[in-house]
Amino acid sequence: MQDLIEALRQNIMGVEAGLLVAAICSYIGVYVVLKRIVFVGASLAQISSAGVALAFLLGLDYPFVADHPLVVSSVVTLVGVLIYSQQTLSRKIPQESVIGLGYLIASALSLMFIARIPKGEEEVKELLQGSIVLVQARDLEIMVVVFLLVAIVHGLFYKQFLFVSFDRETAATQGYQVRLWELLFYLLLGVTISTAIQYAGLLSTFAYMVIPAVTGLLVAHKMRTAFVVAIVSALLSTFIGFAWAINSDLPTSPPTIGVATIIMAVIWISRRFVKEA
Amino acid sequence: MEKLITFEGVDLGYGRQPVLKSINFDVERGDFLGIVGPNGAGKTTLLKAILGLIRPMSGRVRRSEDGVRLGYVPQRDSVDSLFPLTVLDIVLMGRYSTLGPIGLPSSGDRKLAINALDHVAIADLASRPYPSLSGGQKQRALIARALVGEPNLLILDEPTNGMDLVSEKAIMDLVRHLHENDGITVLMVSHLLNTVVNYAHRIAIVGDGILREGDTATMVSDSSLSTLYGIPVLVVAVDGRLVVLPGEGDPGLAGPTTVTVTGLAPGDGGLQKGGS
Repeated sequence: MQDLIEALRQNIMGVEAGLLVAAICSYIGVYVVLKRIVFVGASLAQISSAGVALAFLLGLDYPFVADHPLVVSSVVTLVGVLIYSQQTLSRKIPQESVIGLGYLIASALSLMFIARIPKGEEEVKELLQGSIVLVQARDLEIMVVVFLLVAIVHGLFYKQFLFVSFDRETAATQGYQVRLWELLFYLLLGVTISTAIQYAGLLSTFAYMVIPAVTGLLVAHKMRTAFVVAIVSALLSTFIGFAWAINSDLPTSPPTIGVATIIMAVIWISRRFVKEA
Repeated sequence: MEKLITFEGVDLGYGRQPVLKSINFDVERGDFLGIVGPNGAGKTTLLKAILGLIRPMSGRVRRSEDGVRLGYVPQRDSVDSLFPLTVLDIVLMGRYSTLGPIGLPSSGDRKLAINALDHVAIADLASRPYPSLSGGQKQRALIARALVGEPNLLILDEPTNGMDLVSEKAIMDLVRHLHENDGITVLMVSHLLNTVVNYAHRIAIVGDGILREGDTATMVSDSSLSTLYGIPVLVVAVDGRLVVLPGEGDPGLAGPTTVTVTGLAPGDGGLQKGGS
């Protein structure tokens, strides 16, 4: 136990970064799951990854770009956000097909960009697994600023995001600019995903969006409870997962996802027992 | 009588495709107006125009200068039951528009919400999760949400859809009570003719791209409904209540000659030919 704590202490910035990503992604993940846009989250994560790959590719000719992959990734992700936030792009094509197309195109572009980058395979691996334990103080500052901004906007306009997500038609009759609030929600989602992926990787970011939120929604009868349970389970998964990863010399994503899944499974099974009892 | 909403030569539709043409009608203060029509006739389109959710292709939809406070009760199925919200949380949403951009519900708002729940007789369910309610209870919760905004016009979209007889009667009696005792103007959209014709004072019939409206007694007749629905329709009165019955045969024939009513002798139940 002492060794684990010492291992975490030695990677304290990585742990802090992991906790930041866990907290913000699990909070927004509750909305993502409730709004049934999990695949939008996955697709935006893939688009964001394509943006990172594009930054590395452009960086071959313009080194400045490679130094700021977050900027390129954010711009590319925001384009995806603008497309996905339109409720109906075409009456003939279901929205989920548009999201699927975005996912496929982004995946293909990622592979194409990475194939042209020397040491591309390593980049792919890093992109998927993340390298959060290697974050620097500057990275932490960026994360704190971006995530705090997202959290403040969500906190201030909680009732708008809730009402528009829950019953958009009635919200519109009460004068809410539904499209505007939806767009703002998707913009914050895009910024969160592109920032989180930059440090935590594709797998962890997507996992933090889905698994803790499902855990929270399994037990909650109130939104506040869902948020609290989601965030606490995400933080707990990060602590245990990071300790496991550092101790076993593993990448952080698989153990963290494993712990989050175990927490979710334990809650799901115990709920079934409680119901049957 | 003050006109709360006025349609002046309004065409409604989506894109360039008109659904309803040249609509002229008013919703007057004190009305109990029912909007009926076959599936796909344009009831929802008309409702969206009344709610201000779609703009007319041409013409004008005017609201009273004294202000129309809309209380909207959507279809139960359009409200997401996945959200972990209590009944009180949902009713409080009816106060959101009064709170300003970053305001949160106060204890006064909570009191108003409890009063609204009391008004629809489910105050004891305030802390219950909304998804755990029955269909009738959910409908009452949504009506309470509309009432907490203190509306002068209550708009209900298919309020008794999918309900059993008892729940349907309870909800419609509640709506009638709100209209008669609280003086709330009611506009109700429904495809359930037998429900609408026994509660609404005025009927607007949507069909064939046009809207016709008038007193319920005038509008609900064998011939008008047979033409509208394309099958013979018989309107009879049973114990003072109108019953609309579908039949078989050619709608072009004069009168619904093939409609038969069994199990009810005229002397027993007071069966009378109704409509005009």
